[in-house]
Amino acid sequence: MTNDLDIFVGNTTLIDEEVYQLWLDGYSVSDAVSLRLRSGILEQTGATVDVLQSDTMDHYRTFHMLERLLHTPSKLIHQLHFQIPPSRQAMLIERYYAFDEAFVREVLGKKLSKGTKKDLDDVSSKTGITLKSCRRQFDNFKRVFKVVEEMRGSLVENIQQHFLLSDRLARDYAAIVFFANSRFETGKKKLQFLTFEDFAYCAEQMIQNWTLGAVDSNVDDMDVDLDKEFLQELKELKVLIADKDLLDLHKSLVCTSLRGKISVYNEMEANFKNLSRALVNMASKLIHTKDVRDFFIDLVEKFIEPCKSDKWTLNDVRLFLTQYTTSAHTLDAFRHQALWDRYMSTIKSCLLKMYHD
Amino acid sequence: MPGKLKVKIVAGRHLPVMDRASDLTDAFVEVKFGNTTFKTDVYPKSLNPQWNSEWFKFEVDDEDLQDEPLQITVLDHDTYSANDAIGKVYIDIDPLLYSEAATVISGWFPIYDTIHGIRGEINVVVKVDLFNDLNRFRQSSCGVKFFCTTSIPKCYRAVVIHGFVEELVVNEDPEYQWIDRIRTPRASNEARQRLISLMSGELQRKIGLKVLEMRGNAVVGYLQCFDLEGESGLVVRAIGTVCTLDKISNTAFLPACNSPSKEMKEIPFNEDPNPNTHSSGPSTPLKNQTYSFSPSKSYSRQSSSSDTDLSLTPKTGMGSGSAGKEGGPFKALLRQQTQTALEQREGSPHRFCRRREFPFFTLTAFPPGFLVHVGGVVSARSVKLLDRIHNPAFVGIMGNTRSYKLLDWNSFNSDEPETRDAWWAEIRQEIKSHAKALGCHAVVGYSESTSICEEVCILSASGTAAVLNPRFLQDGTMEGCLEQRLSWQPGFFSIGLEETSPPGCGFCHIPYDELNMPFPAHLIYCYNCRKQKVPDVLFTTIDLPAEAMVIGKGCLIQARLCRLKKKAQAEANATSISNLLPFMEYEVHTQLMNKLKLKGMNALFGLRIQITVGENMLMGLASATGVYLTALPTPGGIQIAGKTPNDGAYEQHVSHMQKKINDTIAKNKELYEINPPEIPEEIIGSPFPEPRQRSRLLRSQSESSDEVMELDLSHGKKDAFVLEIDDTDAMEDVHSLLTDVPPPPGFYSCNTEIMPGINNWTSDIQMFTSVRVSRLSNINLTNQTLNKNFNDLCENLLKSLYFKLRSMIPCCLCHVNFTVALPEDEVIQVTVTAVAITFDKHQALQTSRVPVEKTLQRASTDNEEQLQFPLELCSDPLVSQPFSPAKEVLENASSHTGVPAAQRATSVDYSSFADRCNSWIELIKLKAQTIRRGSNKTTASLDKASPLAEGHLRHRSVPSCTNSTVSVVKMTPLSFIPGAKITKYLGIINMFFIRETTSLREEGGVSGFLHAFIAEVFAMVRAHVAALGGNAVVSYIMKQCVFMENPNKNQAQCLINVSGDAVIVVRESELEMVPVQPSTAVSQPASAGDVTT
Repeated sequence: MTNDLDIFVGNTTLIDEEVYQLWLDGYSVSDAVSLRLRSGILEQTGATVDVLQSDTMDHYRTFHMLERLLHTPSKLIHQLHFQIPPSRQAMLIERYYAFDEAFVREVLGKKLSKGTKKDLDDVSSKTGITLKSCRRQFDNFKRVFKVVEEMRGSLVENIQQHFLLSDRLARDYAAIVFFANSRFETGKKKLQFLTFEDFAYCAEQMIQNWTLGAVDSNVDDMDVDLDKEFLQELKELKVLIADKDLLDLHKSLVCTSLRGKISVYNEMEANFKNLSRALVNMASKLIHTKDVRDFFIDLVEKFIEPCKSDKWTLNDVRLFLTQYTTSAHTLDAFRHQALWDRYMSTIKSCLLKMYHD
Repeated sequence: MPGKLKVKIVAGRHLPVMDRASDLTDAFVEVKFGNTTFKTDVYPKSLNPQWNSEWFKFEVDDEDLQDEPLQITVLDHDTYSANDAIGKVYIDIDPLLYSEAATVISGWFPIYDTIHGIRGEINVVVKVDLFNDLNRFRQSSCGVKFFCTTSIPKCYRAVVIHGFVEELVVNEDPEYQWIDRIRTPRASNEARQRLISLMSGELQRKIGLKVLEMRGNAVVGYLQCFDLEGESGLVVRAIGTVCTLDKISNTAFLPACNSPSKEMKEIPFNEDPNPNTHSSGPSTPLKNQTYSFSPSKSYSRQSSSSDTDLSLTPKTGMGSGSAGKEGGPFKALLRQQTQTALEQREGSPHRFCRRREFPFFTLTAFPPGFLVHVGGVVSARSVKLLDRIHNPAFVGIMGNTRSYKLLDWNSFNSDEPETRDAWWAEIRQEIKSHAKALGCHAVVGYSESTSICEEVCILSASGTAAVLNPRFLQDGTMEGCLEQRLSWQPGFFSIGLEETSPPGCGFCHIPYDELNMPFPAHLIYCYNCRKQKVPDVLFTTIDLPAEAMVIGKGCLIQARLCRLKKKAQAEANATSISNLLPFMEYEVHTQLMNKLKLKGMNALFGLRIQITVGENMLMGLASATGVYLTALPTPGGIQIAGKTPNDGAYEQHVSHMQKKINDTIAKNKELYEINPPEIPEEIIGSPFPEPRQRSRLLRSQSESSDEVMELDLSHGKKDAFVLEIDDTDAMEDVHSLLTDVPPPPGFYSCNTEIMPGINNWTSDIQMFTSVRVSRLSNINLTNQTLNKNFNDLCENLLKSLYFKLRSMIPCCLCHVNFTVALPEDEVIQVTVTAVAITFDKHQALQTSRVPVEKTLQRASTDNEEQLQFPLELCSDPLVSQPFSPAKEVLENASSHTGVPAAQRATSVDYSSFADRCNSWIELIKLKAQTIRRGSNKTTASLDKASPLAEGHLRHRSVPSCTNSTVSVVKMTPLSFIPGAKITKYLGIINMFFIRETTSLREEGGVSGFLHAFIAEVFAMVRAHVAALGGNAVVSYIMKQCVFMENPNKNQAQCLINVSGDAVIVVRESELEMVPVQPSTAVSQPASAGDVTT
């Protein structure tokens, strides 16, 4: 005797959070059943495997039907088809849009195109996340990207408004959208020590300071694209390294104020010109798209790695960058104070965030 | 031109993409009523159109208003080709036709397409201006209220219960018309939906006319069913109970919606310290019942004896103020009391005639006192061969006319147009005569059903034979009924009856003559009163009466049975089915009896036996709720007797089985907390103070002269039920008895409204429908394997439910309703609809404590007043009996102990029900004050009085619905929503949907298809209720779920018919927000003893 049809429909849609997670994680019904078996649910409830199988199928069907609505969360809120309490709706949306750290590190900064989607099986085998889950996460990124890409107003707010995500998750998505748009390279081996959180922090800093939205709050793409004018102007900073006098003066000012305060004084003094050149050169090249993409590699290769090899502590880096930034203000010949601050404040925040093992 | 229907199309949302090129839709709407159609403008390129149309006005007869549904079609405009339909919304405007229900229908409706399901939503506003029609010969019956609820609806009181009403309408089924061959499935489905909508509208109108003829104003327990007879047509039939209802406009007098019947049962347990028992104090909603009702009695006494002003208040002045309103009828009651008693003896008034024809009542719960005795279940079945229904309107388009000879015992002519009517009349006649044989003049809990397979149809009717209190049924005794309605205290009815029947057990007493019994049965003196005979077991189709005294909890008991039959045609088929039927009935009955004994219980309520006919088998499924009635004897065990006593191994086997059975019985007794006091060991461990108290009394009593009776009672225990194992079949039966697994801990189930022994429901409810279709392996089907398969199917389904709902523990599945269908060979479909309600184990303890403390605190305050009042009640023994709550409560507490009345005062432990007495005395006090103020006849004082009452009772007359953002609509098959109070009935919901697919695999197979469809049906019901302004559906029932599939063609079709009552409920917690009036004004007597002595 086989059950052709086996369904359970509640007036209030029954949602099992455990099964939902298994579904999100891309497990097939039979995998989900065996995972649930291992959790010892049968012993707790005295149920049989058949019951578990039927229950899992039921939930999967429900989630499958809900998925269409989850693509546009506002529909889920207003639809009449499934009666779901608001707190449950929020849970469904939040979990559906949640992503795996391992996955996001693979995809962050990549173009959200069909090509990338095709490569997801590699990502899947590398991360151990099921292909189904990878696809969901990728599609989520792409969907959010498509919706907010061309929109005015704050990126985070737009995401929040359209996808009804929590503040935290909306910020993460803002970072993902920002990275995907500028295609920052994050996958190189040298960058592997950086977490998504590091990148998300950097993205937030860059959105706040370097995008069009930072100066004008009423333009298209204001939070997504970097302020081209600003990038153009960054070339002006080159004077700090091109002018030898200025560079020396800058160095002596920094050294004077850091003497006795920094633990790696000698190394700092020896390396100052290299570090300064690295930071200023990066600034001047950011107008090129390719250099924008390499932004994080540059930061790591040209600043973080030299410092690390000289065993700078985080505090040393902080002291140095603070002093390095403020000392430039006292250089009379240097006239791009505002520009310098706009550039350096973000660089400093990013470097400090990224300076860890 | 008696009505103007106005419709406004506001907006749409989430429409589907109809134009692939633009990914958008150019939507417009057609609004159709009768033959008139209006259109909105096209709203181009949007999935969220804002039509904001003008008011479309239809000027129509009220007859059409009742029959026709409003049809709204959303289309996509297409310049070059035909416009594509997106979907439709049918709106039943019936709820707008009676004044007390909804005034406007406004809200978002899912746009439904029979092929694609829900496709977006549309916002519609509908209003009706009804002009008064004074035409006496009108065909419409606007204003007659319909309720699916099978008890008197909560905000009404029954003035008269007139009796049975039935009607049926027949038509050709569009699915089988020749035109169906050339039209699209969508068109065919829509034609069917529309036709059924029309037919049920017409049916309702016709029933309404009968109601008006009977001088009623409402139909309660309205049950409408469709018989899809295939080629021979479509029958829509309905039965119901005609009542004259009166709205209780002052909510302070309303009972809470919580299971009223609970309350009386609790009473003996009230001061129980054990959390497992189910008592409630004044702070639980349940108690409100007591509050609201008992005082009204005393109130009426008061008003009639001392306050003449009140009696002058005209009855029509209802709604103005509490005092005046209530006073009138009560006064009248007293005057008429003797008069009606006389009338009653003189014989029935002529208005009685119609009801006399079939004294049936579809109600399953009654005002106390209505039910005098219950005889037992009566049922009748008849096998008929379907023939094309003679319907002149469709003669023209009938293509092939295969004519069948009618297999009909009374040899009705098949050409007779009223064939179906005659069939039912015949069955009803049989039921009536069965009832008569049981010494009963009425049938309650009556229902009818059919099972159709090809051209064979089994018609079934069943009910519970009963003796009713005649005073209820007479038009002249409306106040009597009113009083009944208001007084939930049992024992009231002893007046006017020749013999006094004690409250908790009266209904169990046999109505038939002991020496002239219609069937063999053990009769024993009632365990309660020891005066009347009771049967050893009692089967009924009704809910457990409120006054019934029960020990422990109840449980769902099912008997399941399959019988193979040969495939046959026409008469031969019908004959073989009718030959099988008696055996099935017998076996179902035996199984029920065995299972009942196995549970250690002695009565079944809500019994529903469904016999389903298929191509090659018959299925029988009986569901009922078993309980242990204190009035009936303890069931004996089950004894197994082997046939071959010499075989040692066999004997061992038998004794092993016997042991297993005994263990199961013992386990069940523990599980359901059945510990009748006769067994001394259990007294110690008993969580119930009531049995303890009782046993003490029994002992003390046995010292007196009642020895004989005691002996007589114990006789029941020896009466074990013997099962003979003489062949493998019997062995199977015994095995199957033992395979029924009890629900996991924390779960209870019943198929009645409420579960005896549980009362502290939380508002956490989950209504659900579960469907399983199982295909039997074709090889070697025998009755045994079939039985086992069917049994497993049902058991697994239950297990699955328990697992799914495990987060609701502790919980009870209430109103579990199984239906079985045999859609094709070797395929069984089981559909279950029920509601899971979480209850609170701990709350009971707390609430039961409160009243006791209160009593102590208040004991000394305000003594004289409350003393004078109840004493006055008792001063006139004749009249006070029905009115005095004190007496009744006392009786209730003590009578079931079997102590003679004179002994009561001394033997009953007063403290055990002191808190109970509190509650009503509190109320008496409260009322007394209300009356005093009310008698000033100034509105100001009335206003002053009512907030006190309301505040205290935690009622508030203004319904306030909070969920403005997301309108949550609760659904339940019960007549109430736990933890909430129904403030308004908005009208009946009766919807019929068809869903079809030609891409079954793509929609997730049969499960995906049906899952989505049922969810859609729920959604559409919710949307209609929300648009009526409601927030809940009570008495919800899925009457039909016909599923057909053709996997080879990748097709499936399903028809669903649901109904229920749309209501507005207000959560009790919201009501409690209202500050409670200082309770000092209401004082308590020291103990009940003060009252009675």
